Amino acid sequence: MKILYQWLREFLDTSLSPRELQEALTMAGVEVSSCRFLGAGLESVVTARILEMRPHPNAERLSLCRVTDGSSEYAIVCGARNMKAGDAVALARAGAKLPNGVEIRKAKIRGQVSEGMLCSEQELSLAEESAGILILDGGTPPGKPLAEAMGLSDWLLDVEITPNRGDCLSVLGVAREVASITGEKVVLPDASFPEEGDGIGELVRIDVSDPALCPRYSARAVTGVTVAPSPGWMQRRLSLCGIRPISNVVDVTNYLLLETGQPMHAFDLDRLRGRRIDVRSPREAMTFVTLDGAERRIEPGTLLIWDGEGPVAVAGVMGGKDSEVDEGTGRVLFESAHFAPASIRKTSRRLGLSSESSYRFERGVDPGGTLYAADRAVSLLSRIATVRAAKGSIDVGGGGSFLRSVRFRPSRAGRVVGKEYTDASCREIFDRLSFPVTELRPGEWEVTVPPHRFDIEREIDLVEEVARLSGYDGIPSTYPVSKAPEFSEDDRFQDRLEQACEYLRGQGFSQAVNFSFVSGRMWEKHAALLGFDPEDALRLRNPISDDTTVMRPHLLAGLLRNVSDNVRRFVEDVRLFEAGNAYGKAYEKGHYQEARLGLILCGRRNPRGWSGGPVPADFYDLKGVVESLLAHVGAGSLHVVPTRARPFLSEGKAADVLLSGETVGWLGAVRRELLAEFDLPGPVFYAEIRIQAIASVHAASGSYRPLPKFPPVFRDVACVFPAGVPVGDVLSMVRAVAPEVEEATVFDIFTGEKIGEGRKSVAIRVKLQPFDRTLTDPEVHSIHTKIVDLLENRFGGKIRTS
Amino acid sequence: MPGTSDPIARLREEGLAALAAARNESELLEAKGRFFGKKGAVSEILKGVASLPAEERKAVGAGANRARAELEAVFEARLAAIREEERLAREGRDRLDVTLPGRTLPPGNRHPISRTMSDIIAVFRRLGFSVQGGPDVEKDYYNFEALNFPPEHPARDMQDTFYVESMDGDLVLRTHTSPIQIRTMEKRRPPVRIIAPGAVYRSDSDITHSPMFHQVEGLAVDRDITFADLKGLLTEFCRMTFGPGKPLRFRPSYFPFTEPSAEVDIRCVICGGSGCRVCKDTGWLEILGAGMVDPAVFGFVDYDPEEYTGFAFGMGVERIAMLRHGISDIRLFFENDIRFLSQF
Repeated sequence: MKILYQWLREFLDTSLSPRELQEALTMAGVEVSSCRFLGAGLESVVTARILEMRPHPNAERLSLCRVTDGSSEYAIVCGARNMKAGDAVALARAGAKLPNGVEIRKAKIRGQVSEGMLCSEQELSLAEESAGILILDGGTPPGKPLAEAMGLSDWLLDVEITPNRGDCLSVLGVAREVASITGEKVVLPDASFPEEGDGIGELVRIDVSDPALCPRYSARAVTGVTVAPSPGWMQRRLSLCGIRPISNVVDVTNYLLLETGQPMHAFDLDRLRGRRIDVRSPREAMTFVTLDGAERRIEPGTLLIWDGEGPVAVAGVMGGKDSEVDEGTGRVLFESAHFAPASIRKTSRRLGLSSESSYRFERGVDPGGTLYAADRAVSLLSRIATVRAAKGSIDVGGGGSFLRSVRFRPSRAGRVVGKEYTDASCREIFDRLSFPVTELRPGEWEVTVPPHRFDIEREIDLVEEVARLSGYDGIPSTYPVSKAPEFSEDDRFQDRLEQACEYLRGQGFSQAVNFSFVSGRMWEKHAALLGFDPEDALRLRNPISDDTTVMRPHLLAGLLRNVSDNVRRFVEDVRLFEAGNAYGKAYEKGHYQEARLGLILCGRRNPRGWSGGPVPADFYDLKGVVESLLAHVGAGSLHVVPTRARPFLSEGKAADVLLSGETVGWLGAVRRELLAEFDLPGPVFYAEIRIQAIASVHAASGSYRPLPKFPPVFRDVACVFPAGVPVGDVLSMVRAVAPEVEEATVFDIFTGEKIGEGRKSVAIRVKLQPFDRTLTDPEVHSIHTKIVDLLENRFGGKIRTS
Repeated sequence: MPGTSDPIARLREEGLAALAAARNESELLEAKGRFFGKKGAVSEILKGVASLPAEERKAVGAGANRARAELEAVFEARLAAIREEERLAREGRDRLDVTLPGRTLPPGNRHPISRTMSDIIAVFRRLGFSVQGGPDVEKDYYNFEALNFPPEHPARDMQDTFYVESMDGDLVLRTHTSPIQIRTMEKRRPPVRIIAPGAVYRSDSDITHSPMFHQVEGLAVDRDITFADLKGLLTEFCRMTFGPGKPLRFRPSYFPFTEPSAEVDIRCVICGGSGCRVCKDTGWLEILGAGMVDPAVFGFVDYDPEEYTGFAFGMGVERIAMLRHGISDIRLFFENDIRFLSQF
């Protein structure tokens, strides 16, 4: 919200400079994000008068102006049309620099010389938007500095108001806040005016049928109005604060909104049928045309303002087309009401319609200030236009007290904040806030809170006032007494994840982070390939784009996209991993997610290597990483078994990873059809691991076994098997042949003509390690025979002798 | 000094010349044998000393011994020099190019978000906090209601929420990690000291906002926990994260689930406080939101606010990573361009 420093000073004669005010408000919780001197950058802009204006010979939309700054004449090409000869305007001559950084140069525009620019308020940073160039008051002499001529020796503060401080959404509110910081006093501007003519009761009758949603409804009426533009100073203040000037009557209501925070509405009294107002919600749904011309559907429960025949406004949100004030209006009713915040918010959300008015009502408008605002509106209007104010006011609900009392213990403030606050210092703060204090008993007070402070209902709210207004700077820095930290399951998860990430980094994998949401359209299109179950998917009701509609069921698609993007950027060897969640209704009941580790690999086995030639990485490279990763985090005996349950992996090149019989992951070569979707030519290998499975492994305690005292014996055996024999099974059975078999490893494997079609040769090295003796030749022979027997009879192998 | 007509002097001259002329170890040994080895010329002279007249014996013996000692010394020095030359020549032939890259798999890189998050967690674990996780897909109750965001409260506008299609109640993507506070307190009694990292989601996208980003949340509840404790802890965290000598400021603010609340600013790490584009000329950078747990929140988890107090804080991981590494566009984090990742 924008606040003008000089406007603020009309409420509070503060000794703080604009910069000091910025700092003081910010440190009290009302953040002032910028503070700008309005005259800044306008030094080189002067007032000028248009002497002559004619069309540009070569451009229909442009005109040629001859202007004077009092001493010289200038030719200016101008794109605006809202001016005429004789007008006083703002001239930036060649060499001038505007507040927005634009430097004005002499230029030829469509063949015509332009020696400067006639500026709009927007170009001068005096308004957020403007329809044409700035036309100054008629009497403005040419050649004066613009800032001086416009009275711009003012500062514009940009104030960010948190949702709890609706009371600060006005000049008055910020002035009260300054008063509570400095102890200076707020003085309300004069709201008096002469009353004449009819009593308001003779002009209109007002009822509130729903007082719960409208606790107070105040009104004033004026007659004999001539609707005309408001004076320049008022228009300027409105423009600077982001509101477009419309007419004197409407501008006064908006001026009051900015000044007091009280949203007001001006009705054309003669267009209120039956000269009456009622405030209530409709019993059944209906339609209504708001000021902006839109026809809106109104549900029961929406608070409306009615005249004698139908609705004329959506209460607190927007007026209606039919009762709007226009040039023909002669009599005006000013509405200044208090509506219940939650009701306005519901309406505003339901209609998708937010206004300056609804924004304030949602956050709480001072129910104690409605009548002052109505008076002030009439007072202001009577000063800028000729009007007759009707005698008296209407104030439905005005008799009630809107004060609250809240219990407060100074000791409680000390306990929460960790700093002693004396009774005197608390009293002083409440005094600055104008919160009267009554001592109930020693150490326990009753504090009376004025109605504009919607945020103060409980003791803690008063503790906050004491803490912030005596300054957070003065609170000491202590350290919470530490008890021994706990070690949770999630700590273990975090540790294991950290280990895994660092291990993978050492294996050449870089970490990726992808969005958890993916394109539902893409996943649906390739549902079969991706193994996507639309029934299980979690979908967003309000995605931000088509690419983020579904929570990802697994991590593959994101990583494939990353590989594809990197390959396109000439990175040949890509190794990426991602630790993130997969989502679906079936995952972890009620939590819909499962933590996964995705690994993806393509390119060469030894990137950037200079010896041994470029060997493409394959399935076993990734399998090796998966096995060693799991070993690294303490998950031992894995089983890797062929699988057909992963549709995104190639048939025959896909495996599930089992740990103690439970599937903890899968790996394999990504299907060619899927690679094609991502414009990837070469093979890509992918593995996904359930992180919880490795996080919950309790590493073996590692109890000591005596070291062998006797030498091991090594035996090599080469055997030709049918091609389909799983070597992993062979090795595990060989290991089980005798307790002395400590290790069985493959050291060579090949196929070819020599071996014969459909067969493979596997060379196995067996390490025999006795515990209590040196193995004798017959013992070694016996074990060897058992192994040969196993290979030949169990696996259909044929021992090679060469 | 005897003249060159002296045979010992002549032998010495010749011996020195022969040693100097030797190009390798065997030539050197040959020269030694010839002149001062067991059967060398000098030895022959010494053998003949006995047969000399008594008055000459002493002078000749001493002269020969001196010459031999001198030749021995020169020989030793020459031998060492020749061996060194030979070693250098031999090793020169086998010299490696030590600048050639080692044979290894080049290590990959941690993602800067993950790295920053791990660092933050590590600091708080050292300070006695334990890790807690929670679901990304969250109930409205945990994300808002129990955190004192009543329905129809404008504070809900502070966070643009993604809603999840659901048959069983109002599901949202959590807009902050704060629901973990509630889930933790529901399960246990004080004392509580947790740190809760995770992905969060808001419907917002530009160069400083991403629809998915990461937060780390902290919560401590016990008897006698104060705002002063919060100040002390966060001051220590910032010192450990951004280095010493960076002033902090605590500024009053508003969050529905804490009161009193604060935003914590650190002296701008770019300009040091003189004002720049990054800190929008204020000299300060906002890095944290924090405050004392609101009694209304304790009401939802059945903690007695008269007995217990607590503080909570939360920070954006991307924001801290951006400040640490001078990254100006948040979208870079999610492109996973290896040229970007390899910088961290």
